[in-house]
Amino acid sequence: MMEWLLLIGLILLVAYLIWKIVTSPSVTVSTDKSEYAPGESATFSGTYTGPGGVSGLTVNIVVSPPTGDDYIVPATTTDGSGDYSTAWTIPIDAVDGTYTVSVSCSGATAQVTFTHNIRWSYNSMGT
Amino acid sequence: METWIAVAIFGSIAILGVQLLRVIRKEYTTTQSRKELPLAVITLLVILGGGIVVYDILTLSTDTLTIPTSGIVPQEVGNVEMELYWDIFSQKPVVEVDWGELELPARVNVTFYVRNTGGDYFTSNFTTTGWVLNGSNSGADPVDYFTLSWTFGESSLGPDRQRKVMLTLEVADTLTGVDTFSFDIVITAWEA
Repeated sequence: MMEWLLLIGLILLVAYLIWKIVTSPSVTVSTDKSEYAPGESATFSGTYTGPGGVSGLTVNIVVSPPTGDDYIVPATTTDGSGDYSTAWTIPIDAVDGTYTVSVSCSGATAQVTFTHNIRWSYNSMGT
Repeated sequence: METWIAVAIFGSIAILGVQLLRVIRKEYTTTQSRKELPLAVITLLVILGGGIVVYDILTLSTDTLTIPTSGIVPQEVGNVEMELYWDIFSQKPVVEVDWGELELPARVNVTFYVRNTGGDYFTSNFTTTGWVLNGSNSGADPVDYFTLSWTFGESSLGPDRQRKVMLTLEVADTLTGVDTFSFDIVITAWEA
C-alpha cells in the first residue's frame, strides 16, 4: 500500500513538472530581414504567450552589436493577441557584424540575430 | 541556499524513484541482472547527491570574511542621466553589492549595466567612501588591503546606450583582525 502511495506521489511530481513547463510564459522575436544597411529601418516583432492576460504587457528590447555598447530600443507593448512590433533605425555609425536582438516580456526572454554590412549597402545602391 | 533546495528535491525524487523501482521489480522483472541495474543507478545517484551535501558542508566550514553589502550611490554632474542595473533589460536596479563571504586572498567580480537615459554623452568613474571595518583591527587603513577596479574605460557612453561593466574587489591576505566591513561606492557621470 505504501509503495503505491509513493508511486502516486512520483506521478504527481512528474505531472507538476510537466504543468510548469507547459504553462511557463514564452516570447518570440524575429526581424523582417536578415541583413540591414546603415540607416535602414529594422522591424522587430513577435508574440507573448503565457498564463493570465497577454494584452498591454511591456516588451523591453536591447540590441547588442558585435563590439561596443548595447543599443536600447524604446519599449513597446503587446496587443490583445500578445503580438508586438516595433521599428528601429540602424545607426549610421554602426559597426559591421552580427547583432543580437534580446527581448523580455513578463519574465520570458528571446533572442534573434541579424547582420549589419556596410559593403552590402554600398553594393545595393550600385556604388 | 539554492544548492540545498536542489539537494532536497533530488533526495525526494531519489527516494520516490527507489520505491517505484521496487514496485516495478516485484511485478515485472524476472532476471537477477534486471533487478540489479536500476538499483545500481539509484545508488550512484544517491552517492552523487551525498557528495554534494558533503561538499557544501566542507565549503561552509572554511575560514571566511563576511562582507554583507556595499552601497552604490550614482552621482550625476550636469544634465547627464545615468542608471545602473543588474540585468540587460533594466529591470533590477543596482543599489548595493553583496560581496558574500570571502576567503583571503580574495578577488570578487560583479557585473552590471551602466545605462545612459539622457540626451548627452557621458563618461564615468568611481570613488569609495564611508569605510567601516569591524573587529580587533578596525583601525586598519582600507587602502592597504582593499583594491576596487572596474572596466568602464575611457570612452564615453552615448544616449540610449548601455555598457556592461565588471566591478572587481580584491582583498589582500595580509588583512587580519577584521570580521566584517562595508563601504559605499560613488559612481559619478559627467558630460563628455
